[in-house]
Amino acid sequence: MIPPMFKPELLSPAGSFDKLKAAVSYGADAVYLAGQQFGLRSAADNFTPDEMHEAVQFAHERGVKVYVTLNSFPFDRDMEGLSEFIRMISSAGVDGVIVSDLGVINVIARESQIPIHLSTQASCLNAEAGKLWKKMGVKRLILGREVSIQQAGQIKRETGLEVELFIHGSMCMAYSGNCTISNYTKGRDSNRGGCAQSCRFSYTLNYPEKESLENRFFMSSKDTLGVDLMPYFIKEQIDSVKVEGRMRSILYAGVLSKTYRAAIDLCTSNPTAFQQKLAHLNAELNSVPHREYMHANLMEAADHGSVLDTDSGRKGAHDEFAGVVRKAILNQYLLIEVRSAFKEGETLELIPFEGEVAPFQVKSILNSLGHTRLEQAKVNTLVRVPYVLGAEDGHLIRIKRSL
Amino acid sequence: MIRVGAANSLEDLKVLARAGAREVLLGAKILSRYGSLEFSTLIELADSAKKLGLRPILEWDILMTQPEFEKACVLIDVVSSKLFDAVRVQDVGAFEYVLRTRPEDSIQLILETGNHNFEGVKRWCEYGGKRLERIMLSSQLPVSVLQEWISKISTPIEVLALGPVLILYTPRHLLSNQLPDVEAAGILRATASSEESFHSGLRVIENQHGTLVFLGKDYCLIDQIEELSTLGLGALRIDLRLAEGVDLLSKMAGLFSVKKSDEAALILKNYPHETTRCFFKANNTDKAFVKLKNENLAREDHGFVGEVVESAKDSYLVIHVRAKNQKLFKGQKICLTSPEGQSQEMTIHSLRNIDSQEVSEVLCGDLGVISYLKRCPAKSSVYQV
Repeated sequence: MIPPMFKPELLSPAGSFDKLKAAVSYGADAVYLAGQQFGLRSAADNFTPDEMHEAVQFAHERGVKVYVTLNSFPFDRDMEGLSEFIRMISSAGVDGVIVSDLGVINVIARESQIPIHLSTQASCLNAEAGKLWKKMGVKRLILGREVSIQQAGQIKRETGLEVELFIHGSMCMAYSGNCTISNYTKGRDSNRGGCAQSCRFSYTLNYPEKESLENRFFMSSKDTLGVDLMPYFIKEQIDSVKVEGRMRSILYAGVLSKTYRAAIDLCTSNPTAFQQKLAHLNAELNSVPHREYMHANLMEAADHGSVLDTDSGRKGAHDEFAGVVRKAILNQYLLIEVRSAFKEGETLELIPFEGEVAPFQVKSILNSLGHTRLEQAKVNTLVRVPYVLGAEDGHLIRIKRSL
Repeated sequence: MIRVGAANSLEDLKVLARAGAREVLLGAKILSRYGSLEFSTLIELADSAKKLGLRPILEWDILMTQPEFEKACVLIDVVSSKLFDAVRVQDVGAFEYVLRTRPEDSIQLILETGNHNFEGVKRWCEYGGKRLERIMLSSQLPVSVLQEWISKISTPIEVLALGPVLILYTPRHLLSNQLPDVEAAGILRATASSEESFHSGLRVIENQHGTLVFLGKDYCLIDQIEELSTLGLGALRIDLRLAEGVDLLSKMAGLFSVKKSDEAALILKNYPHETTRCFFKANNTDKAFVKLKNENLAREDHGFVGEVVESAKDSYLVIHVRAKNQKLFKGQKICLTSPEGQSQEMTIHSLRNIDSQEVSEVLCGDLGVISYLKRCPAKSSVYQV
């Protein structure tokens, strides 16, 4: 019998400290981030040692766990400094490390007591593989993205390990870790942080004895969307549901965390209300930039229909990130750090950490010191707008563009 | 150093035996990503291989979700350990299954995906123990690394010496997906080219396991045979199964015994694809990473105070103090580094909070307003000098 209150952990991306703050504030149970080495996102901001310590403190003070991605496939020369790095993150108090390489697992086990989570890059797809990784010291399996929710439940039961599945975001076309296109065509190791996204390019396909097919995104996968499958995640007691996207915006980290937080809480407390709210949750997930959504492999194997057709797949209009509330002075003003320009008279949406989004009209815009009236808030400036009821420091503001 | 071939038929086996190959990969299409044999034929060919003096190797190299794994195990369970000299696996579930349930089987473990450091490879060898008769290493490892590892690992090492370079493996059927009138059932082939730089002539094969994408050029080390012979490798693999329409195996048969590089080069003149040595001499696929982001925006911990969040032209700068235990204060000498990399030093003479009140210091998390400085736009980093 399933414990009535089983709740999967909501694991959100934190590509920078600002994104971490957004994810934590909007409801993530845990965040994942990377240091400046050993991760798979060389282009991301990533965290310095000082930031790592600060990030862990910030998250822990709010009851949120921090996992560090160390999921590259390092060469010998890349292993230099790994022991020191492990000791550093151990002293910072991180709650887990996400690893795909057995050599890295060995070093972590030798240098620390940090729980090891096997990265999806290791493509663990079945229970027998899970049992082997368990012997290697792994505590949690972040299963390959080809694994369904039902199969993940079976793997959990057979291995006795925690399991984690991606519930949202972009996905590799290949079995994760089994793509080296960038390595050979761009000279950039995709498994050390240099993925050139070759699978997203348009190709001409030449079939023998058939006409060429031009402009085909034949390797470009649709994105995963699993919010409506939350009852299945809960039924199978999937320990952690993960949102992809360390490279995405602060708005993405916030909106995704808030939406999936609501989904988990509603689904576990009031399944009927969850079903009633689903259209709204989907609308929120449609408001961030994404490719066409699908269930990926969460229910059955993704195949025909899981690949984008004739365009790069950005789906519809999406909301723009107006900015972050740096200071909310009760009944006076909001000081906003502007990320997308907006004008006086425009309607924006304040996204509270909990509860409904609050639309408001920008009645006036003053410069950061409150001296000068402006017609427009420009990117990379601070502006003051009249106070909005319920606003707090750290709230995100968006410009509604999606339907 | 033995040479390993792969066969799809009895004729292939005979060619390999005559050519001097010592070992042959036999792939049933249900268990092998390249194999095309029916399961019954696989068993027959294993028997024939032994009679021809070849070591037959059961190729079980697909990656498997739980249902696929369970189906495969049913088949594996009926194969007598006496029929094959070893089982070749990549999925670590298959590795574990053979270790656990088939104590008489020797195992060959494919470590061609990642596994680029000695620490990890050594651990795999220790885990496999005596049952692990060989490991297949990645074509991304340069010769210098192979040489070093061979001297430190007792498990024999195999590398690809001639054959296609697999660069993507997916369970999805990407070619039939583009053809509305074709079911994802049989084998489909195509080439894929993109106007984006070097993505031309990629060879794509779809079969029941999904889609395999190969580099336009094949991997070839066999013309370096003299150098390879000195390394102490356990085996070289020549895999020509995916070649189309020509009896390539017969044409290349000489490569299974060739000892001189120039002789190999002569045979390779008839090879139908361009070839490459890829990373055999050096692998610098991490060198471009520095270009992937603006290093000027990367924070350094030492002396970091915060960042400029607004630059009001000719008026003021607003600095967000971000570093814990750091602050802005009057008289402080700071260095501001712009996203373009230009650094300028200044001393803070005037310091206000965002409400324009003069303050003596601004602590972590707060905003401080200082005098304007040219060429310090938003996102400039602020360091204590």
